[in-house]
Amino acid sequence: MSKNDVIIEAAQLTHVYPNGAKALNGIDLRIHKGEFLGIIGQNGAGKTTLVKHFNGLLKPTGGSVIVKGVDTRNTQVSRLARSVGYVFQNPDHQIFAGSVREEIAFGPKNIGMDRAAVNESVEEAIDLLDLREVVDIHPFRLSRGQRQRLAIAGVLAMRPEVIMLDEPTGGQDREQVLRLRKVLQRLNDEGHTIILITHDMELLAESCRRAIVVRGGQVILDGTPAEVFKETEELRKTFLTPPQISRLSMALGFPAPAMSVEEAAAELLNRAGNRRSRAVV
Amino acid sequence: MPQFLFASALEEGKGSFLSRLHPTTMLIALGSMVVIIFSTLNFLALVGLLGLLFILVLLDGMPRQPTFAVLLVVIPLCIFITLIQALTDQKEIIARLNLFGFGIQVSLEGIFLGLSITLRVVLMALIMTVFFTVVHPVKLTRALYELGMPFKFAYTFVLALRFLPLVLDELATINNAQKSRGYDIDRVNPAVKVLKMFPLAIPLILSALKRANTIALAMDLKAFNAYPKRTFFISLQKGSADTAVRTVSVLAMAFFVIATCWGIL
Amino acid sequence: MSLIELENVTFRYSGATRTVLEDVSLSVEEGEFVAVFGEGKSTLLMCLCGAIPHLLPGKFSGRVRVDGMDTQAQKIAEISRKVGVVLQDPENQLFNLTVEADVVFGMENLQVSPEEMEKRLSSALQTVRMSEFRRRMSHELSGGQKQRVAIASVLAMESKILVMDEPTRELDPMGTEEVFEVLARLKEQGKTIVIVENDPEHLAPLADKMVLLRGGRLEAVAEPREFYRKIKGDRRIRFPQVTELYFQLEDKLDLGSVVPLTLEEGVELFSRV
Repeated sequence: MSKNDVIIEAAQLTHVYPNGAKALNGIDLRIHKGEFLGIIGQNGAGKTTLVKHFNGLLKPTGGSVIVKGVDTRNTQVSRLARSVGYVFQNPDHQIFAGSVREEIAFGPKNIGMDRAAVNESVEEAIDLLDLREVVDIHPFRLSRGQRQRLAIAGVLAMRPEVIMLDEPTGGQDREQVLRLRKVLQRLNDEGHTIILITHDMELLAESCRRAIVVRGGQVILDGTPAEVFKETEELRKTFLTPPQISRLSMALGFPAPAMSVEEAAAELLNRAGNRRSRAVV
Repeated sequence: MPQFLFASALEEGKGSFLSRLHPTTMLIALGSMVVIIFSTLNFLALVGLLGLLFILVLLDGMPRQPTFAVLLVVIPLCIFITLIQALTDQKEIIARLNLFGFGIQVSLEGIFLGLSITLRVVLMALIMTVFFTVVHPVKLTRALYELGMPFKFAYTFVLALRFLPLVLDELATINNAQKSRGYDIDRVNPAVKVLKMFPLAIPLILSALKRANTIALAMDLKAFNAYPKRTFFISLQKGSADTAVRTVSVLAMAFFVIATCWGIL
Repeated sequence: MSLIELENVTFRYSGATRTVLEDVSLSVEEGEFVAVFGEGKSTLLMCLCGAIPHLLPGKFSGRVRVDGMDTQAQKIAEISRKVGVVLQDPENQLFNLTVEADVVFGMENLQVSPEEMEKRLSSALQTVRMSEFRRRMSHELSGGQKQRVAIASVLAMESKILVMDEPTRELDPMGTEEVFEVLARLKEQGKTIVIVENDPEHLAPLADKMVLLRGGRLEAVAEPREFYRKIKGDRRIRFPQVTELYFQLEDKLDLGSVVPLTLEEGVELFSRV
């Protein structure tokens, strides 16, 4: 599969719950290998329902979802777990084992990796998620941030091509969030496709290269964060606000909204430089 | 938890006569009914009771769906009970069959006995369902408290109603989370299923404990159980209807007990 | 005398090796809106409401005075008349079946009369803009609505002080807006609020004072502009992005000495560049 092949394709994806509520309404979406995208929207808009279709937890009631060429309607979740990893929002919904290694090894063992591969994978995940110092501590005694990283490690160790994370930065301080962002970027550089569900607009702006806005079971906006942030009216209807720095840059008339403080600083320095040089002349 | 529970009670003043009665009245009625049901095995008496109950449900104005839904669940059990009784009872044999080399006899008395037991089960299920459809849980809590139950215990019921659905939801989420790690409990050999429950049971138990802890803290911070007595926002009214229902319940109970003892029923 | 006074408070949780709070002294005046950051922030909040030392086991020393009342010497119930607490997860704070039942719960425990309860109930629901939801079942509400009901249930107890531990953490952006809108209104009404939150954009304009705890000790206490200047290099605290932009450029451009906290201030300042 080449870098830009489509890895997940949703065609007219519709999902109606048993009680009759329509959660997804005819979504068409193509996700390419190696993308780093963020899905945003209010709770209940359909974000989680959408991503649950990508690993087969939910099957379409209308339309289809194809993952790596396979139709999810005919595939077990446990099979799809090899290609699509899903880290749930609350790590306590996954952690059950008596040791960090056992916990991380759970996924790889389930999908049939051989012992050597499992061990290698577990150690790799421990290092990647900075868990080496706490590797001998019982999982239940870890802090919330550490448990979150443990949950991510447990999914990463399965080496899925696509990694989906639901609000992975809850309760973590700025430094910890930065470390996590670096890990995700590294994984993305290695070829993994990353899908983030988040309410954190700053995280979206700084890490994601594609933003999908979901409202009322439909994709309302789909583009780069900069393109999406410019759609102030649609965002307002969705009760979403771009990061402060992006709003600032738009108010100051930047050519493109800034995605980070560094970007805004560079642009302002540029402006000041130009003004000074014009003043000199 | 089914949505119907307390549906009638919480829709204040909407139709159901029974939901306007004082909870203690309903407790007395419930108690009397239980005594009546277990005081007699007279088939006709029990059928009569069933008929009365149906009329009550239809006339009252409470949501009917739950009552009938419960019946559907109970019917298979009843057929089973009747069959056992019919085939094992020795009196009044009405038929003898030969099935696969086994001699089977069908007893008429057995059939009626089976049906009576069945009716008891059905009646119990029905009155419990009716009770929980029409009695307001908060009013019940207050009534129990005023009857002498420590508030902590009376209140447990409300807590269970509120949080049990959440715990069940959480189990579904945990199941999904572990499925996403390649773990599917439904595809596991039933013989080892119990052992394989850990990845689901542990997170569930821990979550439930954490939740209980937080709730306890939040409740204490709202002065729960701080004083021996507490006031209530919701008021309980007793009217003439209550007196009437209580009197009828007690009289009916007395009648059935005496009649059974004297052999009339 | 300040409304809240912490004197040399030291606390270590049972079974833990490190102390979480080390010799912390702090005062909060009536009507102040204080934001707490750093390690031990939640523990500090728990000391304010009496959960420490009464409900959470550990070794506590020092003194906490709330509206003149020593928290160690009083029962939790009495402290709850002065300090109302809103926790992170809205789900676990609504234990009753309906909105109404949850708002009156605390009052019932405190033996308030039914007539008084009705008054406070209406008033509290009004303040959080949830009056039409009075008879609704709690499980039908959105996260933001649930959290507002939790706030109302605490307002009904008429405590002067509100302590809030990450009330918007579990909420979506709309819910977060709803809660901060209520907080702004409560501040206007003169309530004293001590909050732990990770939303600098919403906090900065509301906070009168910001507190940083590091290694259990009080490292900085100041009003926002001064606070951010003091903790400039700290990579663990999230700053409002305009504030951060200011600090990144203050040595390179002539930006004046006033630290911007809000978008409006940022636009005003940086448009002159």
